[in-house]
Amino acid sequence: MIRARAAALLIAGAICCAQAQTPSDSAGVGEERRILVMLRIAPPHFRPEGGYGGGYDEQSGKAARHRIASELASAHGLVIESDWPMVSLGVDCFLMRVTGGQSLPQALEALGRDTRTAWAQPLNAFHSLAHNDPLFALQPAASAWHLAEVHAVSTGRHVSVAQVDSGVELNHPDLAGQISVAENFVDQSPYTAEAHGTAVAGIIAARADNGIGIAGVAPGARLMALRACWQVDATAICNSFTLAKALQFALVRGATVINLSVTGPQDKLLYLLLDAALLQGVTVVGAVDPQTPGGGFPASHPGVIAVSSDNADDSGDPASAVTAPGRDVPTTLPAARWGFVDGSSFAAAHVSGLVALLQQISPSLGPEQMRALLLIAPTTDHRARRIDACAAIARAAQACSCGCSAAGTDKTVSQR
Amino acid sequence: MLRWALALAAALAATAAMAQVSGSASVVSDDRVRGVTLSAGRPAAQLGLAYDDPSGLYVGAFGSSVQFYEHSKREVELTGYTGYARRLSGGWTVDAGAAYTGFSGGNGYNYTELHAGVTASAVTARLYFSPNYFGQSIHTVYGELNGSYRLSERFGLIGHAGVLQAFSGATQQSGGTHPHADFLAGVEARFQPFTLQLSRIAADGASRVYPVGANHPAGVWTARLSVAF
Repeated sequence: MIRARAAALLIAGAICCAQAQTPSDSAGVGEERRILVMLRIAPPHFRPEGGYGGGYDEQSGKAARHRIASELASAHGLVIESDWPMVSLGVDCFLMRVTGGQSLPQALEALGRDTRTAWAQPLNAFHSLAHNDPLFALQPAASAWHLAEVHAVSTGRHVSVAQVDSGVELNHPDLAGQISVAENFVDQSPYTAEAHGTAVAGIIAARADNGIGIAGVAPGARLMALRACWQVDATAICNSFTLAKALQFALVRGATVINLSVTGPQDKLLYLLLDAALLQGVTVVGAVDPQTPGGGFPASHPGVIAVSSDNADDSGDPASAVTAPGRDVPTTLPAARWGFVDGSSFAAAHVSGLVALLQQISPSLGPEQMRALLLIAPTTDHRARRIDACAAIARAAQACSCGCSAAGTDKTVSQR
Repeated sequence: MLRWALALAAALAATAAMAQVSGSASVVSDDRVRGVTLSAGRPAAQLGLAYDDPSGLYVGAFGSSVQFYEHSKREVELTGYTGYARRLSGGWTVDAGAAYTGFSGGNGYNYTELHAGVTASAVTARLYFSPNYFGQSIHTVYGELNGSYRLSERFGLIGHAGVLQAFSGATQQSGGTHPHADFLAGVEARFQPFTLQLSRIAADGASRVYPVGANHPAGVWTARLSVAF
């Protein structure tokens, strides 16, 4: 036991220290001087030119928007750094740097008055919610969800889960073959494996029954490993622009579950993208920040399933937040390792996995129905907000699970 | 009528700041419209302009050089169009409108066509109705499906299938009431602000409905180079 704990300590130490990287050039430097400017994308319509399908609508509109963006930049003392069409919202999002002596609020106010823009906003910073205290890793892991029995009913087979996070080690022996697509939205450099993303990926979808490591909550699910954050020491850092690009990608590529183990300030662009996701029937899971009243954003979005760690102080949690295992969780780590992690980031990953299990059983479940399955009796009492995975599975399957121990409830959930 | 025009002008003036004007200029190796050449198999130059109002209204103009026969004079085709497009929830877009196409040669080929379509992601389905297609006394309905698929940021595939159906007034000479199909499959490369398309176009007797474009092969390779602005 002592030897095992010593090993865990070593591994936990490695989590804290091994993945430290300098922030990406395009994503991290000068964040406080950068803003997002939205220009409307005209809806696609009939055009005689080109004669046939293809990119005429898209290309002509893009050129027009870049022309307007250049005029705006010139008029307001800005430099265009990048852009990304958020087609789900009908806006093109331009990342611009504020130059000269003007303050960021001044620039935003001026852009807000300029009717060529749909809106302008700060480039907000987000971060992951993992503890970096290695002593926490010495606690025994909880296994409250009866995963082996639950997996007899569902493994999340073919359910597409988008993980918007730092990079995942794609060829980790416990993750190989589980990832359907990996994209880097942070910068132009090659996709990078990082600690937080790899840990979250393992909890959601690590391979089961392969004789090594752990079993993910949804080992049959297919992960979209969308790198929107970069690792700084033990914390994954992101911003409005990188997160928005990843969310837009997930929506276009048909993700049915989106895991957001990050937190930050309220953000209009991300808020509207989450609205669009929910409207498409995508279930979004967000980690609660225990340090922020209301749980932080995106957990505070009313359509997002907010998740806090079951050992955390819940005084600031949103009233509808659920709790899930978030302490001493064994999971995958870069360099083909495994270790223990703590924090609501990983509690959220558990819930995303569980949502994938429920989606396999009942693909027509929408976000509201999913929330109803998970929220048995939302109160401020910790025990009542703790998810009963067996009961949720039993209700979705309308059959026994976990030896029928939790299937006795007669509460049913209407389907979309 | 005047009241409506004033209301429209006021609405445009109120929101015009967010309006966008876009355009493209192209050269094409063979101007094929629904599988039929309007350039006698020769290259053509084209220019398109569109105004998109934030309200969803759009207005545009398109011009192209045309040549109906091997030895006939080059003419100019001009199309003016307007309509309304709106985004719906779930990523769908609908649009409907009308277009008028005229030719400078005074040959009586001018026609009006109404259109309505729906776009989801990279696929568009659209229906057209003309009461006087290419100036003939026939009613036509044309249905088309257009799609594109991005292989990478730079390269993509494009595809199209369309069916033209003539109704009242159709004669044996004009192809009777048999439907006529046309297809396109191609690749597209983008080098901002340029776009190059290489396509194979095939048509199933569609030329019989048209007063022009006879004696040209139904299957042809075409190239199109465009610059967007």
